[in-house]
Amino acid sequence: MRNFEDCLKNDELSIKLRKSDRTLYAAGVGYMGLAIWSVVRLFLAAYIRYESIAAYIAKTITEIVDDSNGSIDESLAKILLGIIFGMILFFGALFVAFFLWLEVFIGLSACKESVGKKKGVVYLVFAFIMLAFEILGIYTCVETISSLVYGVDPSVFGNIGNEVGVDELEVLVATMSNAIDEALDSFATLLLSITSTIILLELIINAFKVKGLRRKIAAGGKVNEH
Amino acid sequence: MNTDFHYYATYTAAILAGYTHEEACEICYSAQFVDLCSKTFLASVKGPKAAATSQLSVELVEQKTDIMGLQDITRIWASFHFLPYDLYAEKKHCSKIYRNKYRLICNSNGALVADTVNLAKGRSLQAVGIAMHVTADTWAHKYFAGTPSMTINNTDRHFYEIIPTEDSYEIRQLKFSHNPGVKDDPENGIYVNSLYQTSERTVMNLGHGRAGHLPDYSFIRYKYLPAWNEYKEVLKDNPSDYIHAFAQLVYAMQYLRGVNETFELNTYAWDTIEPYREEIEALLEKRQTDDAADWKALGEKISGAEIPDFDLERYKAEYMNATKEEKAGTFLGKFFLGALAQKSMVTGKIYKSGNPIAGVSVDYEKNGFAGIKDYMKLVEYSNGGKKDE
Repeated sequence: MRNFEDCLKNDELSIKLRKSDRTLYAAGVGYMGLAIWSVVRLFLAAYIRYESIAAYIAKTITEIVDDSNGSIDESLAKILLGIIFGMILFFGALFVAFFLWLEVFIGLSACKESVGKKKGVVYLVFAFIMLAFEILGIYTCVETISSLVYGVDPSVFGNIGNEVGVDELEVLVATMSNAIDEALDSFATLLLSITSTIILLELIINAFKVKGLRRKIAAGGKVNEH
Repeated sequence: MNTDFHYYATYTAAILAGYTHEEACEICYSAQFVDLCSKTFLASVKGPKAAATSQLSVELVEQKTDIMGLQDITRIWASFHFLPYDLYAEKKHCSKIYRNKYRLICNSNGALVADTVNLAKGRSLQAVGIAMHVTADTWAHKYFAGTPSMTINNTDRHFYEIIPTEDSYEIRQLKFSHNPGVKDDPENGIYVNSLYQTSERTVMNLGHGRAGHLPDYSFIRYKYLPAWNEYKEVLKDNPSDYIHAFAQLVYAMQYLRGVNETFELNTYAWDTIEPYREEIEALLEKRQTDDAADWKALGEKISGAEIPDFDLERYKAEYMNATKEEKAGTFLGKFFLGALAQKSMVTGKIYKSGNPIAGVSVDYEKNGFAGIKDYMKLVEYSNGGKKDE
């Protein structure tokens, strides 16, 4: 019977290419997953904070009516606020949709590159830009957390050691509670940013590896049989 | 391998090795029965559950994959369908858990093949049939392990068929579908395989599920990336593997009949099969998913007798109607003894190699009986109980 062992491609370049393109594929899928999760997280946050948002809107309507000294009645204030809020939601949604599209574009392009169906660099340019944003995001989160931990105004503790009134206690508890909430939010965002950064780095590095290895193989690069 | 090889080809090999038609029928029935002796069947005949040599799809769906469940799965599949090649294989830069699974990878001509064949020496024809099934599967199921493991058994899109042409060969990428209701389509290179699951221990990652039925088709040659091979391709040349398997079965059965004094690995009865080699190679290369009709025709031509169709119910009544004392002497009783012995031997070897993946194994000959009462039958037989031949 004939021997077909020569059909195997186990040279060093081919093995490296397989490893890199699979890592690129995984990074692409991971980045798309994170992008979708970011949007889901946004909706979850809005759902959890729905009552606070509703209370804030009601408070704002009251302030508008009060500050206008009667020239704007409640129904007009609601319409005005509705228009402004609607525009904020609309442009916010556009903003989120754009970034979601961009992140999915980067991830999908990485997947297509890994299976040899795409050869462009546009997605890599965007990947670099997103990487810069993520690094900035990490810096911002770290700054926020450290300011929350170290930046609490000592005056809120005011009369501790002396007799503390109920009002002062309420302010103290509210301040600490807000600080902890913000710190936890920032910490969660920090973890997500670090994860995104690592995935983007893997994506970019392996995309360049894949391009380079494919060029070498096509040019009949040095082959080492295992 | 499927019925075509385990039943009809094993019959043909037994005839070529010198067995009579009746003996060959017992051997090939036992070889095929290894694929069907599940706990469901055993429950229907009130047989010992520890003698299970296979698991049906419905059993696997309900099978738990906790530690005990995994050991149960591994005991069956590693003992009968994916005999480990090297229980002491070295693998650097990996965890002990991974190494334990790596050491279960199946391949032909491992030390356990010799142990399996030698275990059947001087025993019943049913034991011979079991040994032939296990030996044949070491060729078909190469490069997969009989334990659920994504990191060992997974495959991906890098799956290419090698199609010989007159002077060379063509390479065609294969496509996989996950719909078990659809038939494999060799003409268009579309086959069914199990669904990709990221869970390490899911039964979808047991054995060659991720390669579908490809290892069981004698005509196909393909290359792919096994998960354990560090991004290196392996070639699976089924026509070559199957004829080697056939020749090794003939050689093994010649040894078991006493024609040869010892059983050596990497040794084949090429002289014995030479008159039929061209016919067998043509049969194996035929592009069809079931070679049963062709093997049956060849076997009947060589033996001059008709090979009965496989009937799962054939020996049930004999076993169920036998008294407790007579059961060990029935066809199924002898099969169960052979299966218990094979399972005990393989799991014992796995355990002795320091690998707990098939569970704890008690050396009942050394330490006295302990554990599953089904194995008491083996102890009684070993201590000069009623012989089964």
